[in-house]
Order: sequence, then C-alpha cells, then structure tokens
Amino acid sequence: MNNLDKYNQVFCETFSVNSDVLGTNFSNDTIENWDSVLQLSLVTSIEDAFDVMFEPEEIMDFKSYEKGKVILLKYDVII
Amino acid sequence: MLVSRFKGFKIGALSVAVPSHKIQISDFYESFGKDLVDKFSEMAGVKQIAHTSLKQTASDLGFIAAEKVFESGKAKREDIGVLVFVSQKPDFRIPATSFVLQKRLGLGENVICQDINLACSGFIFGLQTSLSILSNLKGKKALLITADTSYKTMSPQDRTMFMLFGDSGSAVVLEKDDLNREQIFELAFRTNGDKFKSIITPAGAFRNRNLKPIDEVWSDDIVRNDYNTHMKGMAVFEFSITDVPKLINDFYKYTNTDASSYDNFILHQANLYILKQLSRKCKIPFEKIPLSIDRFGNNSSNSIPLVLSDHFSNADNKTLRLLISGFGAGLSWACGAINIDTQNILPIFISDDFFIE
Repeated sequence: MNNLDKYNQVFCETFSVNSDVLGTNFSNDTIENWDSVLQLSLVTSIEDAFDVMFEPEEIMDFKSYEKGKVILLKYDVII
Repeated sequence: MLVSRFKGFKIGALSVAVPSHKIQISDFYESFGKDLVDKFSEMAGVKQIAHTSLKQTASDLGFIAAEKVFESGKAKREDIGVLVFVSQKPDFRIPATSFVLQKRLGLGENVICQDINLACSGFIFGLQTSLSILSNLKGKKALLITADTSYKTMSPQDRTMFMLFGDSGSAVVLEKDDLNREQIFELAFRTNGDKFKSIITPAGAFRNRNLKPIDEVWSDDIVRNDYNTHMKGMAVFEFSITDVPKLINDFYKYTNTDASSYDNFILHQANLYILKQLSRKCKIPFEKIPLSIDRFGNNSSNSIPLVLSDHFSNADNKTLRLLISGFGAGLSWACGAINIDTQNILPIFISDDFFIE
C-alpha cells in the first residue's frame, strides 16, 4: 500500500466515506460531522499510520484533506 | 505563574467513593453509532464510566469517602478545622455544600467551611486553599472533599462529552507533619478568565435565570439547551496541549527538577490522547503516568485522588514524590509537587447511598 492509499484509508475509515469524495473540498467546513472527536481520531490514526507525532499547532491546523498532506511533508512523508 | 509553597504538611488520609452503576462504552452504540463510539474510545481511552443515580449527589460521594477516612482511624472528626468542598454540582443554591457536609459529618462548630466552584483543576486549587487556611490554624486538620456528577448537566446527545465523564468523590485529610518538617508541597497556578466561555453551563444561575430549556442544534451540530454544559472541544484540547505542558515545564525550571525527579505523574485524566501529548511535551516516560481513564473516564476535580486510590491503595508502604496536574474550566490550570505515603491511601469504595437532609 503506497502513502496515498494509506492516507485515503485513514480518511475513509474516520469519516465513513468512499475515497472518491476525498479532494480539495474535503475539510471541516464542508464535512458536517467533522467535530473534535473525529479530528482527534483522524490525527491519532494518521500518526499511527505514518509513525509520526504532530506538534500541537499542526494538530489544530489539520482541518482538511489537502492541509494534512502539507503537514505530513514536514515529516518527509510525501502523499 | 503563581507559586504557593507549604512546608511541613502531609496528606494524612485519602479516600475515594464511586457509584456502582457502570456504563460500558458499547452501551452508547445505539445513541451514537458503533463506528463513532469505537473511534472515540480508541482516541480518548475510555472503555467504561460510572454514573450516579438521579438521587445521589456529588456531596453524597464526598461524604461516603470522608466517612471511610474517619472509620479508618486516620483522622478524628474533632481534629477537623477546615472543610473545603470542590465541585460544580452543589446540593443547593444556598448554602454552600460544605456546610451541609459539616452537619452530615458531625464536625461541630469550630470549622471554617468553604466551597470552590472548579472542575478539572479543582483538586490542586483546593489543596492551596486548604493548606493556606490550615497554616494559620494551630492543632487542626483540613478535610478537602472533591466530587462531581458532571453528566447531570450534559446533553445525552453530546457525543463529545457524554461518553467521557464519570462520577466520583474523594476526601483528603491535610495535616502538620511533625516527623518531617522539611517536607514541601509546592503548587503552581495559572488562570485565564478571557476564555470563560470555553467550558460553560449558560443557564441555571442568575445571568440567564429564566431561560426556557429549549433543545436546539448548536453550531457544533449537537442538540442541547442552555442548561447543558458546553465545551469548545478543539479550543480546550489546544489549551490542554499547549498551556498545560508550558506550566509543567516552567515548574520544572522554577523547582530545578525534571521528569526524573518524580516517582509518578498523577495527571488529570482528560483523555488518553492529551495524556500522551503531555508525556511527550514534558518528557515524561509514559509508564510513569498511571491511567484510570479506561475504567472511570474523566472525573473532573476528582481525577487526581481517583488515580491515587486506583493505583496505590494496595502498594507496598513507601513515600512517593509526585508531580500532579489538573486543568479545565475557567480556564484554570495547575501543577504541583507533593509527597504521599501509600499507607495513607484507602481503596476505592463503591456506594450508591444518598442522603436527603
């Protein structure tokens, strides 16, 4: 499984969606049930999947599918 | 950072009471869906919580814990000169619940009674208040009672809070330590009233006295009314993983200590993910942070006594040097270095008793 597949799988499992809805519009502004529980669940799962640990500001900033890719790049994880 | 230093005091007894009604995390599948509940449980670390009945109040749990202290013989009623009750769920609007407990416990007239309205930081603020008063009362002991029944003001539809909070009460006796006069309790505090709305129950007191309890969908898509407690989840999370570790790291510097200076870190059981973040940000080996959140959830001001009773009531007799920290509504956050002899920690007592005056 490549990084994009792993990344998508976490989003699909966290938000119970199909991968075809993931993209530039997938964010806490557009997803109704993206609350604090799912945000922390998402971050926890991403950290586990890529063996990283985010800084507090990165956790708070992880509010969209695209933003997550930028944050992971800081850890040399290319999606 | 404000720092209070108390020399020559000790914890003479610590007791905790918990209600018997246990709720498994899977019991919430029907309300919130298995998928979300399982994700919550994995992130927050909660597998089970205990709730009081509608009749049992926070003071009942505190009373039961205090009675266990007196039954153990570690303190006598006539020794108590200070009674501090920390809770956000008092018995009445007037008087303060500490007076109700004074009567119920049969403490007599020579007692200073005070209530403190605080949640998750409350144990350490309660220690500060109790020790400050005790410092000027010769030959007396303080009884610090922390207790809460947080779920009673929560919307049952609040998926961010309703699965997280459990009920319990504790009683801690503070007294002069004549055998170890150099023993130091050092406590540090910060508060931020600018963020008082971060955790709030808007109605029920006098600012919004006559609001009708109308259930509505709030901006976070959760149905609640103004009599329900609302927590801005991500804002409180951010506070927990930025301000709290900063205070602990500042405390390390102030006291010239580090994580290796303490036997254990007894931290407010906010959620498992926050505890992992605190471990990382304060360089605390995770195994030095005892966990009770899995079986009891977040117990507000009572987290610290609950963890102590849960993990150390059956330990071999020894004196532990502990770093404690609590943080929450206000916003308020605190940490401190204390000692406790494990022989003074009583086991958790389970009771559903309630006491109607």
